Amino acid sequence: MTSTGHIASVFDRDLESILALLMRMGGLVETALLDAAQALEDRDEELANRVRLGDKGIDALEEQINSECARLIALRAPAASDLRTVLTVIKIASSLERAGDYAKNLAKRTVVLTRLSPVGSSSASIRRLAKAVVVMLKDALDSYVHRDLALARDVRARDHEVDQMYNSIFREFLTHMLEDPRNISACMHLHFIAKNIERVGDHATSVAEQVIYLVTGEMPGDERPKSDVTMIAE
Amino acid sequence: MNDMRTMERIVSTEGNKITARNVQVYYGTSHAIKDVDVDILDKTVTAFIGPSGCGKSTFLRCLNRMNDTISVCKVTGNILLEGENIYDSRVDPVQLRAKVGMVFQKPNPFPKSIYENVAYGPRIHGLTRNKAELDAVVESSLKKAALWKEVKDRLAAPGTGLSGGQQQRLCIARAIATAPEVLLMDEPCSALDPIATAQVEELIDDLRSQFAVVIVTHSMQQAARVSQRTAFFHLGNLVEYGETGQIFTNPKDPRTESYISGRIG
Amino acid sequence: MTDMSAGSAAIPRAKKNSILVASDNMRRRNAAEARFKIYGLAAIAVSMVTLAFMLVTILNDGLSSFKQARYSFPVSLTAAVLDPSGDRNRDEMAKVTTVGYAKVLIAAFKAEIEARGISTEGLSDKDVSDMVSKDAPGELRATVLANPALVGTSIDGSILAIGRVDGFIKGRVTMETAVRDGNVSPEQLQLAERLIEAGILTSPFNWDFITNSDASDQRPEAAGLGVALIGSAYMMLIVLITCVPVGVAASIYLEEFAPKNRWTDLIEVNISNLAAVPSIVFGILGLAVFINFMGLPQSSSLVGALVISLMTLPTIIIATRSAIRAVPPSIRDAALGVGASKMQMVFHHVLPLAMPGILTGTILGLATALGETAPLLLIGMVAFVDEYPSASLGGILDPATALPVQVYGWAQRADPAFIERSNGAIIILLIFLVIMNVAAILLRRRFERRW
Repeated sequence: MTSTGHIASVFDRDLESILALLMRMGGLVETALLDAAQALEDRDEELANRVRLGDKGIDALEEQINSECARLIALRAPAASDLRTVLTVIKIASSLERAGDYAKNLAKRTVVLTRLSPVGSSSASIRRLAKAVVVMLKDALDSYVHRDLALARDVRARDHEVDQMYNSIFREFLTHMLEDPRNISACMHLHFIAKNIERVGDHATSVAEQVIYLVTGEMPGDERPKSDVTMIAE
Repeated sequence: MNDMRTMERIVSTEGNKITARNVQVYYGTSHAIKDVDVDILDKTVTAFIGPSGCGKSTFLRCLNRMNDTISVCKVTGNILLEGENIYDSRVDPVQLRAKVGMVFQKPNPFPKSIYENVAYGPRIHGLTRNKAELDAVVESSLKKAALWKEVKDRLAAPGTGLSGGQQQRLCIARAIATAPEVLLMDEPCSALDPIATAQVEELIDDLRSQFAVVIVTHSMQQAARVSQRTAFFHLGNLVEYGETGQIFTNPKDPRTESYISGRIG
Repeated sequence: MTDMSAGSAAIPRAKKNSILVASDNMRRRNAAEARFKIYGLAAIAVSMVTLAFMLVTILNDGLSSFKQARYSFPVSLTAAVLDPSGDRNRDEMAKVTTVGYAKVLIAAFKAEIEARGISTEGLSDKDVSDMVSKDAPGELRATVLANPALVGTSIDGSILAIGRVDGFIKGRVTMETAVRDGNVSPEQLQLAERLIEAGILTSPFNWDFITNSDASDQRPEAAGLGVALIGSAYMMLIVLITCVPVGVAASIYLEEFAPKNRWTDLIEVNISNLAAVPSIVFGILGLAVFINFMGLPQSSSLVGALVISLMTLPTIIIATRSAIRAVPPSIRDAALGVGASKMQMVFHHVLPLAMPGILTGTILGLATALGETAPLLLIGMVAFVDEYPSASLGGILDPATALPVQVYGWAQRADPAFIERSNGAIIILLIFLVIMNVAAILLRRRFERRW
C-alpha cells in the first residue's frame, strides 16, 4: 500500500475492499486447484464434484469485483497508482476466473477418469505439476499484495520450469499411449488436464506481469521465456 | 463482499428528515423551480447537481427559508421538516434557521474572534445557560469541524486571519454550534484549493453520522465522492433522484446520462 | 476547422517589427501619457501654490492678534478708594465702580513713569492717562473682586494699553498717520517708544483674545472670541446630539427595513436634494419656523444649532447609507443563516462594520457645520454680543454668536485692529477644522477592518 492514506478515508476503504475480494477469490482458486489435483490422485469423485460446484462462487466473485471496480472508477476517479491498482484488479480477477474454470475442467475430467483404469504414475507427475503451478499462483498473488517486484519477476521465470515439466509429462503420455492403445482414452484426458494446468501457470505469469505493471507503470517488454516445444514437430 | 463496506453503504432508513412535495418557486413572473418532489434522509449526504442556473441553489435556499429575504421570490408547495411544514404562518424563520444551518460558497466568518464566531449562534438562541456551557459548545463544535487542534491556542484571534480552508471549517463549526438537524451547504468547496477541498469533504463524511447534510455542487465528481443520494436538477425540474452509485454507473434518465458523461450542461 | 492556407486572411496581422524599437503607435501613446502626467502635476502645483499663498496671507495678517500691548507696573490698591467700609466685603466693594479703579490705575501709572524718570514733555495728564485702555479699570476691578484680600497691597499689574499703542507696536500706526488720527498723537507715540525702552510696554501673548467677549469699536484691544467659541461649542454639541441618532436611525431604516417601493424612492430623492439646497435657504426657514412661528429667542445657540442640524442631517444620512451599503452581503447572509433576526443582524454585524464610515461622515459633517455662516446671519447671530451665554442648560437660549460669524462681524468694522483680529479668528477656525479632519482620518484608520 502507499505510505499515506487518502484524505478521503472512504477511498482507502473502497480500495481495501476490492483487494480483499481479490484475495478471497485467489484463495478459492488455489484451493480448487489443489482439491482437484487431490481428487485426481485419490480418484475421489465426491471431491471432484465439490470442486465443480465451487466454480460458481468463483464466477460470482469475479462479477462482484467487476461491478465494485466500475463503481470505484465512477465515484472516485482514481489516478496514477490508484488507477493501475483498479485496472490490475480487474485483469487479475479475469485471470483467476479462467484459472477457476480450468480447475473445474480438471474436476470434470477427473470424474471421467475414475471410470477408467489408472495409467502408471501419471497422477503423481500431474500432482507435482499442479503443486508447482499453485505455488506460482500463490506467489504471484503474494507479490501483488506486497508489491514485491523481485518475487513477481521470479514467478515469471518459473513459467519456464512449468513448461518443461509439461513437456516431460507430454512425452510420458506419448510413451504410455504407444505402449498400450487401451491407455489412449485415459491419456487423452490426462493430457488435457496437464495442458490446463500449464495454462493456469500462464495465467499466474500474467498476474505477475500485472504486478510489474502496477509497480513500474509499464508492462514487461521482454518476451516470456517459453519452453513449450511441443508445437515443434519432432 | 467486505461486510464493513456493506454496512456503510446502507443508508440509514431512519426516515425522512425533510420531505418536499410539489414545490414551485417563482422569481417575479419567471417559474424557476417546477414541481419538485424530493426526500432528504437523515444521517445521509444528499447532493444536488446540475448545470448552472438549473435551480439547485434556489431550491436549497427554500429549505431554510433564506429566500424570504428576496422580496420577489414566491414559494408554494409543501416542505416538511420532520412532519412540520416550514412555510406555515406560525413558523418563525429565525427559529427555523437554528435547526437548519447553512454554509455558503465563499467562506464568510464574522470579523470577530474565532470564539465569538462559533459562540454567536448559541448565544442569540439562548442555548446555553452560562459561560462554561458556552465554552463547551464552542470546543465541541470546533472539534467536530476538525479545527480545534489548529486554533485552540488562539481562540481570541480574528476569524478572518485563517486560511481559506480553515475559514470554511470555521463556518461549518459556526453552523453546527446551534445543534441543527439539517446542514445545508451551498457549493462549500468552490472557493478552496484541492487539498482544503479534500479536507472539507472528509469532514462532511464525518458529519453525516450526526446530521442530514444537503450539498449543492457544480462538480459532479464531488457529488460522487461525498454523497449517498444524488438529485439531478435541470432547467428547474428534478430529473432524477437516487442512490449515488447507481446514478453514476447506470442512470435511468437519458438527460442524467448526458449530463454525467459531459454531453450537456 | 479553419483553412490555414487561406491567403485572403481577414485577420490583420501585427507587422514583424523588432520589439527593441518603439513603433509609431507606442510613441504617440507614450507622448499622450506624458502630457497627461504633466497636466496633472501642473494642476497640483497650481493648487499648492494657491493654498500656500492663502495660508501665508492669513498667518501674516492674523498671527499678530495673538499678542497684545500691555504695561507692566506695580499698582498699589489703596484701600481708602477701593474698600471704603474697610471690611473686605465683596458685595460692599462691588459698589465701587470702574471710575474708582480708574483713579487708582492712572495714579499708579503716573507714579511709575515718574519713578522711572521717563519724560512726559508735550503731554498733558489726560494724554498720559488716555494711553491706558478704557477696559483696563474693568479688568482690575474683576481681579480685585475675585480676591478681595489684595486690597491694601501692591500687585504687579499687567495693564491693557489702548488699541493705537498696540497698532504702533505692530506697525499699523506710524508717526505720520498719528498726525491725522483723532485717537492718538505723535507725542503719545513718542512716550510709548520711551516706555518700550524702559521695559514697561511689552507685547505678551494674548490669552484674552480667546477668552474675552466681543468689545465695542473704541476698544478693539479688548475684543475676544470667548462668546463665539462658546456659541460654536454649544451649537456643535446640539448638532451632534440631534443629527447623529436621527441620521443613523433614518439610514438604517431606509437601507435595511424600508420596502423598496415608490415612496422610499421619493424619500431618497428628497434627501439627496436637501443636501444640495443653498445654506441661506435654511436660514430663511429657521427665521420663519423657529423664530417667528415657534417663538424661540433670536440669535440663540439653540436656533442656530437647529438650522445647522437641518443642513447636516442629509450629509450624515448619505454618509451612513454608503457605509452600510459597503458592508458585504456575505456577512448579512452569514448572520441570517445562523438564525439572527434582522435587528440582530443590523446591530451586531452591519453597524460595527459600518462604524468607520459613519464616524468619518459625522466628523466631516460637523466640520462643515462649524464653518457655516449664511444661515446664522439670517437668524440674527451677527448681533454684537458681549455677555457670555450661561453655562447651564438655559444657556442655549441666550444670545450668542459663532466663529465664522464673528469673523464676518469683525471684518466689517473700520478699525484695522479688528481686521487683524478677524484674521486671527480665521486661524483659530482653521486649526479646529484641521484637527477635526485629522481626527476623522485617524479614527477611520483605527477602526477600519479588513474582511
